[in-house]
Amino acid sequence: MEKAILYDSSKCTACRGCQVACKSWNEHEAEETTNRGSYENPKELSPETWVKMRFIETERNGKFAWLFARRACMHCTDASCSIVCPTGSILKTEEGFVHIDQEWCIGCGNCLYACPFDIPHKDHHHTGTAMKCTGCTSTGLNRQDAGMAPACVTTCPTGALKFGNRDELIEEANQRVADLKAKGMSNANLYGKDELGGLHVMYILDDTVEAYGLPEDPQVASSTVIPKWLTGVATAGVIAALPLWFVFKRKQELEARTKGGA
Amino acid sequence: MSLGEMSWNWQIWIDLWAAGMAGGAYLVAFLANKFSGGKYTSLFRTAVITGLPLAIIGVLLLVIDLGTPIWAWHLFVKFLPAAVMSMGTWTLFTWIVVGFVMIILWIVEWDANRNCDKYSAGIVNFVKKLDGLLAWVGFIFAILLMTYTGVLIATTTQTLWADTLLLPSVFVSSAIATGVALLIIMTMLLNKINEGRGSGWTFSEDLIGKLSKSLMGIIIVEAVIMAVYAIWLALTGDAGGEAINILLAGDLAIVFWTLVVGLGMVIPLALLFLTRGRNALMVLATSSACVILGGLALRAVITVGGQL
Amino acid sequence: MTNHWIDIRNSDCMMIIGSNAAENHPISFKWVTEAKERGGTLISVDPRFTRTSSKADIYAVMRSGCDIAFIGGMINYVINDMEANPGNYNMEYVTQYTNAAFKINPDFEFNDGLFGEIEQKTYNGSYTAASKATWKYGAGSTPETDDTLQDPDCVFQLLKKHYSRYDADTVCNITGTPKETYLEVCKAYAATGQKGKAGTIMYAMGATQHTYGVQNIRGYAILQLLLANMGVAGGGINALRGTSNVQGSTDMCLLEHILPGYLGVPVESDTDLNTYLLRTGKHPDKTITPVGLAADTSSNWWQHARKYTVSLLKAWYGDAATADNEFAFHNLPKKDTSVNHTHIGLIEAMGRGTIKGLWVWGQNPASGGPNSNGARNALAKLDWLVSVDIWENETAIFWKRPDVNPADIGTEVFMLPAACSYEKEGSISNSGRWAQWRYKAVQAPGEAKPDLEIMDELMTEIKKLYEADSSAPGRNAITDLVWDYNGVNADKVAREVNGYDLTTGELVYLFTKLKDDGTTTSGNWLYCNQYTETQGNKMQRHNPVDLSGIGLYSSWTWCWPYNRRIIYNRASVDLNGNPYDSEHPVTWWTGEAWAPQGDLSEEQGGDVLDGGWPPINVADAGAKFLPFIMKPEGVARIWGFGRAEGPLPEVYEAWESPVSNPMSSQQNNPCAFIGTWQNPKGTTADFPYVGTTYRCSEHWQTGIMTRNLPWLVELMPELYAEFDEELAADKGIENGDKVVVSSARGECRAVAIVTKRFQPLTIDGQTVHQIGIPWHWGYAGMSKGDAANMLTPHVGDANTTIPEFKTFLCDVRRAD
Repeated sequence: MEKAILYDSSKCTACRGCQVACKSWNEHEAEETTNRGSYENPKELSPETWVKMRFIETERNGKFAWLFARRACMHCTDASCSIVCPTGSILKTEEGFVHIDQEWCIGCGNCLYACPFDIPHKDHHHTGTAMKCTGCTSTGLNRQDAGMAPACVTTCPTGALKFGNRDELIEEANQRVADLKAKGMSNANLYGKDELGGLHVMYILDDTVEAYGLPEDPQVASSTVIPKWLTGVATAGVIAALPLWFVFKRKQELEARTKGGA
Repeated sequence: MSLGEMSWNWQIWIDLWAAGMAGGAYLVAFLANKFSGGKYTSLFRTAVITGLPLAIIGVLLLVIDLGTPIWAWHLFVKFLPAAVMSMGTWTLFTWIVVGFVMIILWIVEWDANRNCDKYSAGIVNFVKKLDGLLAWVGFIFAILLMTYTGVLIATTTQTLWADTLLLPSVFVSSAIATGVALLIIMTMLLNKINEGRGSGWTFSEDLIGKLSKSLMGIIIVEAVIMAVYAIWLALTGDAGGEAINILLAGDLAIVFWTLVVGLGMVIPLALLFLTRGRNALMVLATSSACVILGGLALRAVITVGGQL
Repeated sequence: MTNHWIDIRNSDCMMIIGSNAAENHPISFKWVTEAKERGGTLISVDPRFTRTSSKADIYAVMRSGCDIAFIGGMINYVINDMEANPGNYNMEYVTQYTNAAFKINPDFEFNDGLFGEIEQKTYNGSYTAASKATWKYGAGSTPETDDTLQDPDCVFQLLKKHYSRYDADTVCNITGTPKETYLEVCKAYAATGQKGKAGTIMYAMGATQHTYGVQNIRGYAILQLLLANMGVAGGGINALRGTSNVQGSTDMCLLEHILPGYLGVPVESDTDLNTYLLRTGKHPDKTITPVGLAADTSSNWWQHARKYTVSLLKAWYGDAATADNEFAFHNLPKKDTSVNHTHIGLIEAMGRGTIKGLWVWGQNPASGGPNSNGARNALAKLDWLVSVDIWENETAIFWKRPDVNPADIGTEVFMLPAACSYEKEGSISNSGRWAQWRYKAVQAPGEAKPDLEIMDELMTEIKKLYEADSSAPGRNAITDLVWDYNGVNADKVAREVNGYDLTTGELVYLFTKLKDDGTTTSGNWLYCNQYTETQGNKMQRHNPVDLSGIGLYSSWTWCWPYNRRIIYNRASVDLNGNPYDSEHPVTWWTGEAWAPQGDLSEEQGGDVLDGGWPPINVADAGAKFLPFIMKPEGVARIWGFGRAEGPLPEVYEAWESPVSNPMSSQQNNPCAFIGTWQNPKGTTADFPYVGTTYRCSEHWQTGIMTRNLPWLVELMPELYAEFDEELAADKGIENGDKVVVSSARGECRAVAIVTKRFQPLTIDGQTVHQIGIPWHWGYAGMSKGDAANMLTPHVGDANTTIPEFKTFLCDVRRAD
């Protein structure tokens, strides 16, 4: 049964209980941070920080608006990280959650660059492996197997995070988007229903995808891998080889012909 | 895109450069030999013998750059054709093995030539045939190897690397250019070493001249591909424009214009053009070295630029 | 809270003012969010655009400290609209359940910001007794009423007259709110005056921490009463308490002016029990019976205070409390009314050397109180100080704080490590008055002990000392005490707080069973019924079933009084007992009886009623009980004559303010308490900006629990100060720069957060910038920083002396 986390930005107060609950459950250390003129911290996701809230100061209908956006693994159906992983260490649970097998990951870093959302981060200091949110399915700390929701969801005080069957959450989310539109939030939308084959973390956004800093049309990293192989091979085989052919073959032939004619 | 800590560092760009150059040299020598009806076997052998250590150094650097180098063997447990790095791993591995086997075969051939009684005609024949077959296999894998260096970083979501189809072409053309340059230097070096000795590998001025002409042509091809790549990227939208701008006018512009374009393309092209038809060995050597360094700079700016 | 957390979900309109609920009461937003999902409107009124504002349908900016202007204008709007469209309001409620119809002494006068004659007009003043008499009802204990609300002396007309000065333009000129937004707020909130609609006001320290804090809340109350929002589901005045058990500690007598259950503290003139009860107004003789309303009887519930006081004395003094000695009333300490020993007063007394020793329990006055520099200097004058805390806090190490030489400080300091909430058993009472039991999860580390154990050891030793010293002053107050806990026994304490019937030895079922003859005990009459013989410890109940349909969850733990989840609930029904809001009925009259009440029934029912008498129209003459049972007059007070500075809230400026009061020539609350211990006042020339302090989600109070937690420090690592872009540009400050915020009393180094969430305001023609700074930091713990309270002044509310943390003058500069 496909499960999902549903994040409702219109209900999120950015209390960041999710950030702390995540660290607590996954036994992650705190990072040393500084105030950089914002509430937002840590600056980026890291091996020790699998979820963080973004604070976006913007405008909506001519009025100031303060948007909050969750930043963590989206658990794609077509997960680029899993596709590019050279050791096949990035796996998906039956429920659709993507996790990195820490016993097999070699820390090549490929998934870091393949992710459309810039989620995985390599632990340069301890394990050397790539890490990211596992939807609380990490070995030994698997909440989902124990019938529990991920830690961030459980701790969320406002109900901005929900965990459940993906189909049901989509239905609920569609209703919520309709409600928000009726309330005058004409840009409300559901993000993640179809993106990348369907995400297992979906966002109800009360503003545009762009306003929330998410990629509008995320692509699987390998979507153009075959044409890229072909252009490369073609370049080698034809375009770059052409001068060689001209210099070594064509000239020889011409020389031969000249000699022959002489 | 902002990545707090770059994960792909100098090891990666040196590898992309070294592996590309090895593949490029192989391809050039193989084709030159084939196009010339087998005239340049020694050039081909030089390419293999020079390229192998380069590729091996590249592999070692790759392993060093892993988060867990001792688990590098995990790469060889599965063959995952959709995962470019897995493809690359097996490609490199195959190409290196092919190269080694060929070298062994050449030793056998050399030994057989020296000592005709030692091997039966069947074996000698088989060795020759196998050698010829492996050269083709190596040729195919050399192309894959060069292409892989581009496809690897193009199969990501980093705009600079992934948003056009041309990054593999850029890398392949650069690989071939550096490959030719490497061969020029090697031939000149071997000529120098073997100067005055009756035996050993030496190369004709004609060959060196042809290589130098090829180099000019390939640099022009490379420049055209790079220009198309840059324009294409800029046309993909704001993100693409920003990405290419990092090279053209941004943080890496100085390196790009001086080392990649200036040192790697304009200077050698100008030098080669001005000394065309003359036997200006020092100029040729200098130009080739420039191309090789320019190729390294290209891998560096692209690898770093994609992570900014 | 008159209502409770879950009840917020029943609201049609939530006005969060003087509170940043989303950040400081994150869980409240579970219910705010649910109310919004059900179509409710959220209004956020705040000087700064907060995380609460981010979720609001309407955000109204308001200069810090302008609640009275803001609410006064809303009252004016409602009264005007009420006269134009009476059908949109619940006039029966206003007339019959509040004192709107009551006639006031015709001599009442209001003139240029003053409600009569006053001894001192600047501050620390008090109105003359003659003036105060004019604030009262015209005909003493049987006031006349005019149910047409037209009599010029009736409260409604006086209210109308007073707030007619508060038109939208005048208000916005004071508050800085854009007029359109302000009218939007008025319209949205006034809509809750409709029968069947409910609006709630959620407030916190932003409302109370002003020199006129009590009048801010009075303003909310008046508005809520005009809109018939008290006693109904989804309504109420909801004080979001600042810490998890602050409600419980107030109930139990944490403050210097109350005994458990809000009985008054005796003063020197209270020579006997009767005098004491009369003075505190908790006496049958104090009953006020209005004439001319549909109801004719006031229950004046406080007339039972004698029973509660005697039961309390019996609980404390046992056999030493007898009918002959007025149940040892003489043992209670009697307060000297000439000194103020609220927080500011205590610090001043230490500074002046009249208080020599200080026992600080779970408190941190060195950075939690106002004017921290002054407070720290005052601590240095003590002979000894004991700090009981779960961490070593700023108070415990004040003697070795940065920039002082420990050798210069003679105070002997003791640190008693305490167990934290997970390391001890007992109850806490939340803002919704729910007393909930907590169990011990882990053993306290090291030498840390539960508070109960520390208190028991301490008192046992003190008792021994007093018993040994026959000449000790007030000796009997200690030696007579029943003290038989023998270690940690939360269960025994819970039973004792509930109380016993001494004739049977059984737990008393309810406060109605308490007697004034010495046969019952109760540690706190309000908590009577928390522990019964048949139901046991009701605070431990966890039945998640809601039979009310409005989220009362009556069998989930227990709440005071008598498990009543929404107080004043008799005002939720009309004269016939039919609920005004049939969708969310708190209770209803079935024709013969009230709906099943609370946890007493297992069928669908309502809340426990404020008194079980039949509805007014059903009851017999002479037994038609008025709904607000805790008031001597049985109705809610729109007109409140018990406050120091007058019967209606009036606009005054904060002690330190950059503007002259646009409403009158009376700049400040004339009765405000102004401290004099190291408390310089800043001028606008030196300190041109309005400063305000607050909390953030990530830290708590002085940060002692949170600044030692790396995960929370990661989220909010440093002290910051927030202000607008224009001010930053003027001062050459970039976002993220280090700055110094200063006031006449101190300086704080902070990181600048330059943000659009603060906007410069135009007040009375001048531009006013505001600077906000959280008060979570100090020099103790893992994440260190300056305490924002080094900036705040030693001034307090006229009635409570709660300090004016929220509005003061300051300056900001780059820290170069």
